[in-house]
Amino acid sequence: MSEMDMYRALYIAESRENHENIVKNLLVLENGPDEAAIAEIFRSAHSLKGMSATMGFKHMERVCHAMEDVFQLIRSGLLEVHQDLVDLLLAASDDIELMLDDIESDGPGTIDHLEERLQSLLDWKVEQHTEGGMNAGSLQPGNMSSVSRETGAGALLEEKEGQFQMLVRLRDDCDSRNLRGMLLLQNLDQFGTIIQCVPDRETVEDGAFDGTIRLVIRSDAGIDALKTAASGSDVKEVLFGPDIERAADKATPGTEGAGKPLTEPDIGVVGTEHAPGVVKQAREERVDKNREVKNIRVDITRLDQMMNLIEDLVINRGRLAQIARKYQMKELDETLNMVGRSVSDLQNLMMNIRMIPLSHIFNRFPRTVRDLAHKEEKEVEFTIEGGDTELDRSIMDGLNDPLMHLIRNGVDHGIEKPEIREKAGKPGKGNLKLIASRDRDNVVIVIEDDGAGINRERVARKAVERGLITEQQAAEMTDESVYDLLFLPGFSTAEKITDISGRGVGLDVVRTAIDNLKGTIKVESSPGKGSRFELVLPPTMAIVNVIMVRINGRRCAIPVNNVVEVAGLSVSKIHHIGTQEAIMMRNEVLPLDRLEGMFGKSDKTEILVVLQHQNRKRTIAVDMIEGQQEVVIKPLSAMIGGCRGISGITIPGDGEVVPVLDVNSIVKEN
Amino acid sequence: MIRVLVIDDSLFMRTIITDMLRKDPEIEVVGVATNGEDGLLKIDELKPDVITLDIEMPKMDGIEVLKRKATMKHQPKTLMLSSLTSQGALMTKKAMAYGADDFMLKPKDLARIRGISQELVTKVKNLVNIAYISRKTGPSIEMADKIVLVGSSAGGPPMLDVLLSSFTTSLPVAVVITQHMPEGGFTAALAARLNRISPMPVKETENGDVLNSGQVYVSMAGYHTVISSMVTQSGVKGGRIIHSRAPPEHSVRPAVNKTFSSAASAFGPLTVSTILSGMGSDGGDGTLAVKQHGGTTMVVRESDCLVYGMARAALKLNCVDSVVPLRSMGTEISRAVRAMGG
Repeated sequence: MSEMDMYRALYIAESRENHENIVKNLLVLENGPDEAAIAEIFRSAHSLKGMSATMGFKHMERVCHAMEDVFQLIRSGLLEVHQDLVDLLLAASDDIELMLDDIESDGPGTIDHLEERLQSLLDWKVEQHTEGGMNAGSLQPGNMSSVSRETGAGALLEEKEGQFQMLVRLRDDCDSRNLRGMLLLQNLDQFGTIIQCVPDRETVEDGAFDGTIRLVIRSDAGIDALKTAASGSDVKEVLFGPDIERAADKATPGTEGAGKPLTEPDIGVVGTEHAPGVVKQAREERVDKNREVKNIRVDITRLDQMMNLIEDLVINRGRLAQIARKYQMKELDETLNMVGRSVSDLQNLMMNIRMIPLSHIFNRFPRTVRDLAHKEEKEVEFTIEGGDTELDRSIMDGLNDPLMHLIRNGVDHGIEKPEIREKAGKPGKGNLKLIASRDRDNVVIVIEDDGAGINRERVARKAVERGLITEQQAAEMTDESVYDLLFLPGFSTAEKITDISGRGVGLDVVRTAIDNLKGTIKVESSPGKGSRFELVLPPTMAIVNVIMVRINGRRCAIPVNNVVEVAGLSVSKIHHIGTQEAIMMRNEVLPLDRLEGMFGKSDKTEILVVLQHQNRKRTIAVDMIEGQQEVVIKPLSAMIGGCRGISGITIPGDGEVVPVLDVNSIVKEN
Repeated sequence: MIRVLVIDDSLFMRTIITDMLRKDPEIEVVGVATNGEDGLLKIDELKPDVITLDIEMPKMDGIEVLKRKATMKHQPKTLMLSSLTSQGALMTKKAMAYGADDFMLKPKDLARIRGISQELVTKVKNLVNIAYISRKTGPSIEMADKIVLVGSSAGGPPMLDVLLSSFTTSLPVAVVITQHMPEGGFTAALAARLNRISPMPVKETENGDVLNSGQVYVSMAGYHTVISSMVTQSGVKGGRIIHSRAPPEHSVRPAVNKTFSSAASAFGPLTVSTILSGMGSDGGDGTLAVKQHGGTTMVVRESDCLVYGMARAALKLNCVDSVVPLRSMGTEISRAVRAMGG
């Protein structure tokens, strides 16, 4: 990477932080004057401008300069924050984002409407200067959507378990403390979140510390894992618990550094039990620190490549294990066990690296809600919870659009205008919540509003109008099935076409997107009280839990989340409907497939597997079920091309190539 | 080895500045600090020879650092890195007043403009190598009858350091330096910087200034420095400075041409002119005017310059008496002045 490329990458990373900081603080400003926010914005705009000048991005520089000027006036009290002004500044920060996107894709970072934007910013300057702030109507917070976000500090206090205090001491003769310290912190980063670090990272990276690092880390990896992560060459000791200082004293009575830390004000009160305030403060400091780039940017494709290599490693390890068994070599077996452990650690680590917190996409939404509420003349309190829930990067990418749609949907269709709400006896300001959480292996995202809810009659009527169902069906359907109609292609209940939704694409797009991510979506609603969309997503797509079956002696994998149940074939009576076999099961007629075209005719099918995709079910007959396991699914090579019924292949430990059934296409077929 | 501490809140800026400094074998970047507080701690701890200091920073800004640094035991030289805005100019002026030693505009358009790192490196070295003047001639009240003109642009400021500090004593002339700079206060800061290392007092020009002997004037940016001849009531001939808001020439204001041509007609043969590093062609016509009025014309040699645009413009007009290495420029100017009968 040339120097200039490196600067460019640095520039983009830091500019994005600055941009986010500007937007965040502009939203704060909307709720009332806030000097800290003004100072933050000024500084961010200033840094952005400086960097852009250095990189020669002129448009960027000029927009930031104009913003900086406006904030200079605000900062010195010559200009009051005004609704129109915030709108304008937000628009300008949108321009900044546009330009950054362009720069990131190697463009010149220009916008077409530069002069207009500059002029509009300049107008404010001139106007306020000449009129001396006469028309400066002060901010009217009551009138608009306010955005509150769980700070994370509150959650932290409740979550005392999983938080560790650590003390790591490097050997006295360690000659590159900075390097060791950096490695150590990076290792620990993989296992959790470092909440506090004394001395701070900068100091450690400079090597300007006495070889002792005290940490508070939040992690669900357990002490052993943390200990392993922190240990390494040149590490003298790793201690845990609130009493580390005393323990350290005891362990190293001779060392100079051991007694000293007690006098340092910071570390003495770090105890998670005793001084929650300090932890909170530490957390805030951390948030502050995050603005500096502590991460290296790695192209996601490289991570994918690495993942592939690790998978190959898994496969080869399986082969080796077979060889070891064949020759009955105990030593090789033992060694392979060790290798196996490293490989699966590596695999887990890799998965972790690919995980990023949902706040990555969540952070954009407050702005969306604000703009939308504004336009729709609605008042919305938007709350985000669980932004720190992590999800695989590849899933995250596909999640933005459906979530955006649901959130827009919530503001547009869900929450009513203030006067209507008040008539219904509800507060004028509606609530919209976006909540993410971890549920066992899955990530659950809920979008909830306290709006009008879904009008069953209206949905049913529309479905009948569009010929999707008959009158009779409509009358018989359960509420749930009616709501499900919303997800049918081309369905839109908005009575008027608005700018925001009702563009002909409806919730079906959301459903398709979620399907592609191997997730599910369901909706609940109670009229007058609101609706609730629940998305359940696998945390990653690369590794899938499958059931291994044999058909005609050949192995085949079926994703577990597509399997409804497994039953004996002999006890079920097979009916014939035309040429199609079918099974009567719990009052449902389920077509039966034998997949002979794929696996050949089998004469020992004994087991029935019921598959489901969305609401459609189908059964297949298999010889036997070998078990359930987590596998890595690899796509079919382009040489083979698409192969109907197969979504990919997987290679379990023994090295055999096993096809993975594409339940979606099997269920849809026929 | 010059030990430098870089204080800037932007990782991007820190990286660029550090990289530039590291290119020189005589400079060692001993540390970086991300805000003022951190910077003060590291000054104390690392004892650098020079710090580069950003102005806008969280926790503690650059001005506050300067205030606090003044009471510290270790006193590194301070190079302010300023942004190119009116606000930046004001702050730079303020920083110089609070004891910053020199300033430089933050690098602009890195990819296209070469030599920025050279300027930074030279500035850092000058800070260490050029001593402050303790013995200084007081402001003179005698009107100057001779004038020395200096035209300078990109890459010029560190050369001005060298030139002014190389005058061993006060010259019996008025020196007018026209350095291209954005307006707003940078030229005042430049005058403040030069004043510390020049045996002659240095000030920024003011409209109506009478040109006194033994005084250095730095053209205030935003105006052309026009020199008009004047005669006192007692019949002494001399010149005074008039700030002109005429449109920029070659898109610069102050324009070297304006100063040179006006001074040439006011002082005639008693004029010495020189041109230092700079982009563009400003100064060419001015030098020609000095020559035509019988003055002495010099330009600095190419290898000393970051950009050899302005000097070359003069050379092309065939009006330059001598091409001089920067380090002997002071001596040559003194000699030329003496030759005029000073």
